[in-house]
Amino acid sequence: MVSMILKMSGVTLLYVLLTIVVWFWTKDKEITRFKKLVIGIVFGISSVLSTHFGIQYEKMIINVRDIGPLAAGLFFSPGAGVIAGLIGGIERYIAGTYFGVSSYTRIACSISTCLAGFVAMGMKIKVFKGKKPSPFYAFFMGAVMEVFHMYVVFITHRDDMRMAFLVVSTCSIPMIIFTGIGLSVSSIILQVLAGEWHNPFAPNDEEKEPLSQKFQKWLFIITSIVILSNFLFSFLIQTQSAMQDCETMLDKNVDAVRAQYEYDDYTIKVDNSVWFGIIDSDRRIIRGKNQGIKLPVAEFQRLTKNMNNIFRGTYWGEKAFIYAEWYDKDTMIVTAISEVEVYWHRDADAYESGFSNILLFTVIYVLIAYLVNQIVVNNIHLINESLSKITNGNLNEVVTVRTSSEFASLSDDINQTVLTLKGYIAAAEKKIEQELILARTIQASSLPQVFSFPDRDEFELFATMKPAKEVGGDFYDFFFVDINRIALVIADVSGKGIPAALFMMRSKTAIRSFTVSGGTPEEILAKTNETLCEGNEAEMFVTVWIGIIDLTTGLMQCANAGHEYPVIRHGDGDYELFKDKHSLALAAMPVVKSKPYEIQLQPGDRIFVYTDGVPEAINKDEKQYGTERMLQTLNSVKEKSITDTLPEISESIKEFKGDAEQFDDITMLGFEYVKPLVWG
Amino acid sequence: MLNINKVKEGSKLTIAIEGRLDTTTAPQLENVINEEIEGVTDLTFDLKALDYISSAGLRVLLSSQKIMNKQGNMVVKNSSEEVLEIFEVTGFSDIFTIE
Repeated sequence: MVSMILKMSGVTLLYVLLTIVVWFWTKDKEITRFKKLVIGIVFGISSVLSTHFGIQYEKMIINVRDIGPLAAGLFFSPGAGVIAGLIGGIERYIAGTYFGVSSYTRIACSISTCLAGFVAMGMKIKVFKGKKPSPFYAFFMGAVMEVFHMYVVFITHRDDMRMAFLVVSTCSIPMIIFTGIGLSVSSIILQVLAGEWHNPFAPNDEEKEPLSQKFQKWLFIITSIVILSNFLFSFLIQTQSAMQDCETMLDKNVDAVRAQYEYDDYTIKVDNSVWFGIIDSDRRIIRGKNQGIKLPVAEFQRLTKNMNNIFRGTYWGEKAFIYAEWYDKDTMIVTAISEVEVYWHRDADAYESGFSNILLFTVIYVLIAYLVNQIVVNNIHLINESLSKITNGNLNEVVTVRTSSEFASLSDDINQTVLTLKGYIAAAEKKIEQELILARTIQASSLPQVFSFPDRDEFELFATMKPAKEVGGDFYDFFFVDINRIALVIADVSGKGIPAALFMMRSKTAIRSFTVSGGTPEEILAKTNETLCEGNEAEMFVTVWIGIIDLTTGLMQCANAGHEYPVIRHGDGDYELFKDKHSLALAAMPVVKSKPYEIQLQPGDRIFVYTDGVPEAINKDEKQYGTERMLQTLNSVKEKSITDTLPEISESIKEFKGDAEQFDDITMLGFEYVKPLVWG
Repeated sequence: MLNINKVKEGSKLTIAIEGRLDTTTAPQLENVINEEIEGVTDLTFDLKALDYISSAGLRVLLSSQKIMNKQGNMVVKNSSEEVLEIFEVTGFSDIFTIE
């Protein structure tokens, strides 16, 4: 027994080692056709070797041949499993038929080994979906394959059940266990090597457990309980019926012995499996087993105590069911059937029905697990795929899993939800759009729209603002500081949209109120900066150019806080970029030191200021409009009034950018100093 | 299009920006900075492959500068001439350390 366990462990270990070696050989590489063939042959040969180096146990030869095709198929390639199975199985048949190697079980062995390859292929492809089985399933596969093996031994020897039972009762347990363990250990080691190992006994996080696994677990538990209870029930029934058969036999034979003895038949005939004895008061056997010899005292005393009763005891040292009755006052008749004889049929039946139950329920289990996967899990994956498309923003995705009423209604529900959501989004969009249109109107109306001042002909003025989104962060402004002086402002808030628009309103109000309350551009920018820095959590900033023109003298006081260079045209000359002194944009840093400057304007001089939306407008090749092109355009229309010049620039930008999206707000302000203001 | 490559070595963070840094792409950079800036004492922006920076992009650099004023140094390097000009015009060249 111990030597058998050690030898079987050794052979199984060899298989595990072979599996590891092959794993290293195919690691990180694609398993090519050639490699599949090699793996199939190697494991086939290992099966052949295990046939010929079987292990002697209780006059039987046991082996773990079926590990070969199972390991090749489950761990490497389904094709390799089939090849290994055919090699191992066919060789086993030939060796059994022509060379007398364990020929009694040759059919069962070769069928089960051939089939092992195909079973491994089916399981690998359909159930494990190309992955390696877990240690638990690997054990299960190996064990069930051997159960099948043993079952085939039974059904191929229906006419010789005693021998079949002897073979199976000796071989089945070690072969089932070692085949299972061999595959299981291989699976554990491969998982550890591949870094996929996790402790199966660690408490499972329910959220991480796949539905199919949970289902399989319960299915397995229920199946096991059904098999076990079915087995116990039929075992009990079989025991009962064996006992009844035994009683009938003993009764029948005791009568037969009595009748034959009365006729003084010297040769008394009884049924094959029954022992009898006619014993005198001196314990001597007159007729029957061990005739002429005295029955041991202990056995004789038990007989006399249990007269006319069937009881369990020993008869000639063997455990048996015994019945004794008096023939006359000195002589007794004993019939006995050994326990082995009584129970072998029950045991053979138990093995057979146990095996067939295991096979049947395994097939049911695999089918149900497979169907659950096909019907439920795969559909859930399909629905999840659709859902992830939907959550990624594709609201036009429709879920179309309609394979059962539950899935159809789930699909309908999801589609309905998405439809409702779409409705809400459309409604919300419409509302936002309406609000943005309102915001745009408010913003546009906050910028001065009237460019002619009654009774003022000392200057000409025009400005436009075209936001990239509904509302923008650019603004222009112009207003009289006092009766002699007009202020021009152009500014650009960082960013676009609502946040920029809000910041723009703050900036515009601050600049205008500080300008009107008097002060130089330097002071105006400093105060505005201070105001804007307060509560500027969004860290926005605004670039500002401001010019205050004294219309009586034409002197313009300016300051530029990070804004684009102004364009100036003196008299009939060209428009030119005026590279003025810059300071940092407002609201960027708490303290700003601006660098004011002055420009003396003569009648006919023009100022053109703009935001970066003009030079940085891009076409579809991402080329910028640029200040050069802006100046060229300005100079090409320099005969036109400033009011007519601005639309020319807008037109030129529009032409340049073509189909490209307007990227930034585009704002321009033009001013011409026509003549000095003279009072009186 | 904007590509952001970040390299962090201890408390040194270098962010290389490639493409256009404008209203649509600035939030990406802002997210990267918000995730990475904690504990950084030396922040370097490599603008070698930056084609364009808009005011929204400047805003992100400005807020990084404000954070780095409290916890270390910030350097802007390899700016192209166009980008440099934008820094000049907006006055940010006064507050950034440009190399």
